[in-house]
Amino acid sequence: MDLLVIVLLAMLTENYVLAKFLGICPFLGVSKRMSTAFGMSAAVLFVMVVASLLTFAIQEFVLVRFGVEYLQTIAFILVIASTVQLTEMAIQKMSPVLYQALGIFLPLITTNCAVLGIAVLNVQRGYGLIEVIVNSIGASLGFGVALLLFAGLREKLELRNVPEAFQGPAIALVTAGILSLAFMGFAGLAPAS
Amino acid sequence: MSSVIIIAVIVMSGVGVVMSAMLAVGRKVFAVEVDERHEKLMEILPGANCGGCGYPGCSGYAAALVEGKAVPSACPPGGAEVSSAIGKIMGVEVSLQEPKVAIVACAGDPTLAPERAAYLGVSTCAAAHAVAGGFKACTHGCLGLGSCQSVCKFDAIVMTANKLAVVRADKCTGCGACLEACPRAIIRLVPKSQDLHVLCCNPDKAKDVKAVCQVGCTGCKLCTKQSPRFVVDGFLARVDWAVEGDIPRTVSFVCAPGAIFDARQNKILPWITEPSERRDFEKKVELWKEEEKARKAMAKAGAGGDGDQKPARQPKAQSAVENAGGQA
Repeated sequence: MDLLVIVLLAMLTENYVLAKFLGICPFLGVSKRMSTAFGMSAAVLFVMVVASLLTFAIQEFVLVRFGVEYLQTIAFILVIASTVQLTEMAIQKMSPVLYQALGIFLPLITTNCAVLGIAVLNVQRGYGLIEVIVNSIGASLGFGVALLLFAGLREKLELRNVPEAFQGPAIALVTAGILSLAFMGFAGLAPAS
Repeated sequence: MSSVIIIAVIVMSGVGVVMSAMLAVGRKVFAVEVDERHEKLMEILPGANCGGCGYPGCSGYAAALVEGKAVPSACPPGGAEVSSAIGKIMGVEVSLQEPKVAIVACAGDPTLAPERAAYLGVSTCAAAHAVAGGFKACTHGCLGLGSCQSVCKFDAIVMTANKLAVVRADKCTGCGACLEACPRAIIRLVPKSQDLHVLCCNPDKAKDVKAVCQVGCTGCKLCTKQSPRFVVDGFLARVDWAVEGDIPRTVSFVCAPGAIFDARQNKILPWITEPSERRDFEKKVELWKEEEKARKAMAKAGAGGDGDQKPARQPKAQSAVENAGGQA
């Protein structure tokens, strides 16, 4: 399959947040400010690529080899959790500023279902190494696009006169729903197959 | 069948061992050195993260202390106790400062300082102030939307039913967060021991102040004659903390609009919220004025009339005008 198609698919048509509804937790939690949304997107990009590569290796060299593919979920969760821990340590050492900015959300990526989702999807579709990398980059870019769009909208919403019944999370969820509907329009981009 | 279980267990433990080994190595490779003083400091700091020290939260202040960039006495909520504890940990002498508290220098609620328009916009003071200078006729008065209250970490600011912010001195730590939240710079930090405050920030001339507020300082300078601690800059009185000496209790009596608050005679909350408190005070002032009049008349009678036959009140007013002219 064309690599560009994979990127566009993962980013827009199959947007993990707005079309597949994975990773809603950080989508709603970190989208109040543009700057934190950007930091979170960057962290997710990094974790997604690393986790995809590691889970790809685990799948190829461990699970398939010993015929225990049914352990996929638990093995992937283990790998992803450890990867995030390691990433956290590395970021704390290399960039304390970024570490401070990400705060609680870095450990929270551990439980980000989008990361597990992409790992499982890579296996299901039988992607090779290059395709896995491209797909995870596309998916995390899609996550970033959704998060930044939403954060921008929420920043504007703060200054608007929202009816009392809709204030806070209610209007955020309504906005997310409309954004998701808009992303359904990208379904036309998908190849006919 | 059992072989399936054994393989599964072996595989998962293998993955687990590899991962934990990776984490263990990572912990060593990416070990971050933490100054142990940082942790000790975090224990004694109040943990309010108020920002009163000028650093991002207590952790930021502790980091700055460890690096030697911050002084131990910079924590307003902690006060003297925390300062000396910090000094002990860091091994430095601490010079003590007088604790400060914030005060809202405005007593003009909408019944005294009317609003000139209804405001329906975003409910923050900064937003209201940005729209044509605010909805209050007085452009230096408290807007009463509670932006200062929302930034106060210590619940020290009370919003009265009449839309005025009042600082509770017993809870205020002097962190200064409210000073930055107020778009009109009405809130000030004052030494905690001070009793006298001018509750007005309007620097306009008497006529303009009277037009927008009944309790605004007109700059008449009568208070400056009571005590040298009162200074009038332009048309607004203020208290100069540096001047020493006792202040007569009558200093708040001479203020015609009642813009001077005297903590020795009144408490701030009823003074701002209860109209009866002000009425009681005004009765006191009337009483005092009559006493003064009687005393002057007595003095005049004692002097045996020095050619001035006018009633007692007029020469007093005249001299006030003269003095005001002389000092201006």
